[in-house]
Amino acid sequence: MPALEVRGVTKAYGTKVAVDSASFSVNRGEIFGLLGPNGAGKSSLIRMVMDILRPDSGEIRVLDAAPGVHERVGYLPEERGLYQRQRVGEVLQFLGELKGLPRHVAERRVDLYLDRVGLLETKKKRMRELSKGMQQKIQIAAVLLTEPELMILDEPFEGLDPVNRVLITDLMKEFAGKGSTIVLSSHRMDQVEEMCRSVFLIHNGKGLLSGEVREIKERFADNSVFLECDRDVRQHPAVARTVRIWLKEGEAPEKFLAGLLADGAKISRYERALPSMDEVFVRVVKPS
Amino acid sequence: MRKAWIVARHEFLTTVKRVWFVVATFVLPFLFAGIGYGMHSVGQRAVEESIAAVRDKPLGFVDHWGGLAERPGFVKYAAETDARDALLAKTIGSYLIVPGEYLQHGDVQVVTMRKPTLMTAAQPPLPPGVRDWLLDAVLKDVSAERIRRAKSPFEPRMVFLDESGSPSHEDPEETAKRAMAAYGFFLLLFMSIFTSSAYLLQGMAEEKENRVMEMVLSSISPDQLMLGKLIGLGAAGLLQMGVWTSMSVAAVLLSALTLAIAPTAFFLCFVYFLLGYILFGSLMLGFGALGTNLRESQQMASIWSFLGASPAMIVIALFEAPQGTVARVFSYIPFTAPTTMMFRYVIDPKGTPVYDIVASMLLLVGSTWFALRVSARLYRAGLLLYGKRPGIREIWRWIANAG
Repeated sequence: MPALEVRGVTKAYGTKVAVDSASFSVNRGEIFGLLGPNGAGKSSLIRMVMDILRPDSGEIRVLDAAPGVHERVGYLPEERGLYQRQRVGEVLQFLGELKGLPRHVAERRVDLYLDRVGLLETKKKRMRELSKGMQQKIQIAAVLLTEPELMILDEPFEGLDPVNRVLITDLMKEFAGKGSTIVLSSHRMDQVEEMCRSVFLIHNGKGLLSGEVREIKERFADNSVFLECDRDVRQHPAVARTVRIWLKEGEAPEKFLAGLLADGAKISRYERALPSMDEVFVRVVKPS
Repeated sequence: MRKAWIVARHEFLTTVKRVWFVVATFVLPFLFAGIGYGMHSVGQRAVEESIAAVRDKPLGFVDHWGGLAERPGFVKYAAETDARDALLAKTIGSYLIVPGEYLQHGDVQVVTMRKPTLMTAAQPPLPPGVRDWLLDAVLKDVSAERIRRAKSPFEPRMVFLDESGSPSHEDPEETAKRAMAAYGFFLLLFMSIFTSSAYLLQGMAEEKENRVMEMVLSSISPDQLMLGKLIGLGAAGLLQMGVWTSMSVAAVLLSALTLAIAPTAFFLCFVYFLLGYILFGSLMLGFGALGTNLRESQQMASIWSFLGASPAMIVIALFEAPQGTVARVFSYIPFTAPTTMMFRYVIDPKGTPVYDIVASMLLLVGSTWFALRVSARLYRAGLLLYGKRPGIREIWRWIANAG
């Protein structure tokens, strides 16, 4: 049974259709990417999953139940903030208890996850004393401390420096390794493709692509390879261009490699080039 | 319900730990009392000084009528110019010009250099005894006993009968005290309801401004959130009211005033606070949620504050006729019922009909229930509104759907 299932969901604000017949499903224990540029409809879709908005049509199943207030679902919204006058520990304790944690468990988890995001020393500080990046990490800690079965994170890396991005990425991978399902929404294709096994690509409210990242990239792969060797292969009859080597149509990369080896070339890198998700996105969107 | 309690505890603790709550609860009453006492004392002293400047000096008079006798402290002048010179030289505080036709029309000109002020304009700048002195002159040939009676024609002794015709032994001093107590309860209730409601509004606006709402709403439904907030801040309001009431009672005891207020008054105060607070608090939350920041939320909610404060405009009518038509009409309007009914009951506990109390409470309960439904709908719709304010038509649609 998938952790999240979205079937033909449509949502309009007046005459503007924010989400148009979106369908995808997220398997348990996977990191799933919800991709799309700003304003594509990702946040509307997430808000419907979280039951903050109601879809006009279609069906959503969250952990095999209807959308609603789920204690097993952690949510980091795009529009986020924290109680600025209150102390970090108090805010996390409150949010943890609100998610159904008993008080003593919440107390322990607050310390644990503040430590995991490297902010244990801020526990008694008021939220407004912290930088934007620190507050962002506190919000992520607020999601993690309930150790949810399903995490829905809307633009979780926004405002984080590279070091903290790695820290949070590692935490997510750790949670996914333990069986949590993570839905990651982002307009940054590069961030998502390195973490996610499957993605749903949305643009102007419409789902453009859905499936495993590897499969999508294969589908959009052109006939090119990355090559590093001890000779200039630009004059090779199989090579059409030289920067990244695009093979002529019908030329098999294996045959090209075999030819080079037969010529006695010393090859230090030979790799089939797959498009980035950015490239896939541009290719999918451009025709429209 | 458990989550509503978590919110209630969080709201209560957050509020009572705020510096402004502590200041408002413990310092503000002293500040108000001090300012009130200070203003009264300064005003009284200014009036005293203003009057003394005239009263402690001799009074001059020019008697064209010819019937006035001389007496110590009163200086007779033959001509008005002499009296005027004496006034300018400040040897007298003021002077009278008694015309020849005094007996016919009684016009007496009082000339003084003191400027009329708001507090003293109505008091002629004259030393004591002028009235008796003129009366002695007018009634020169009448017996001393009649003159005494003319000076004090009657000593009223009031006898009040109740509905059964029995004397009620009403003590005017006690009535005055009860009027003060009624006004005190009126202020106490008004302040408590609206301070708590203001905290509700402020907290909600801050949550919207801080963008924390969406995260909270993933853990609790808007209805439970609203309920938790109402309970938590209602408890903070009750605590504040309890402190203010205790301070008032202590002040009364310390000043050795005897003031008989029925325990029922405190119970009614508690009930009217709860009903009034839920009514105004829920409306303020619901309508305040439609604003995109604190200022807008306050504007949206200000209509309810205005309605709640409206009994202050009829406070004279409440003093004069606590069981009159105006007072009774205001007791039946849910927005004005808590403060008006408290006022009526404290100032006239025996005269306030029980059915008025019961009817006002039933109307309050009914309208509070309806307000909760409407506000919950507005609250749900308004919580996640960022940056755009809904139009009247949209608000009306939300309200209509709440029915």
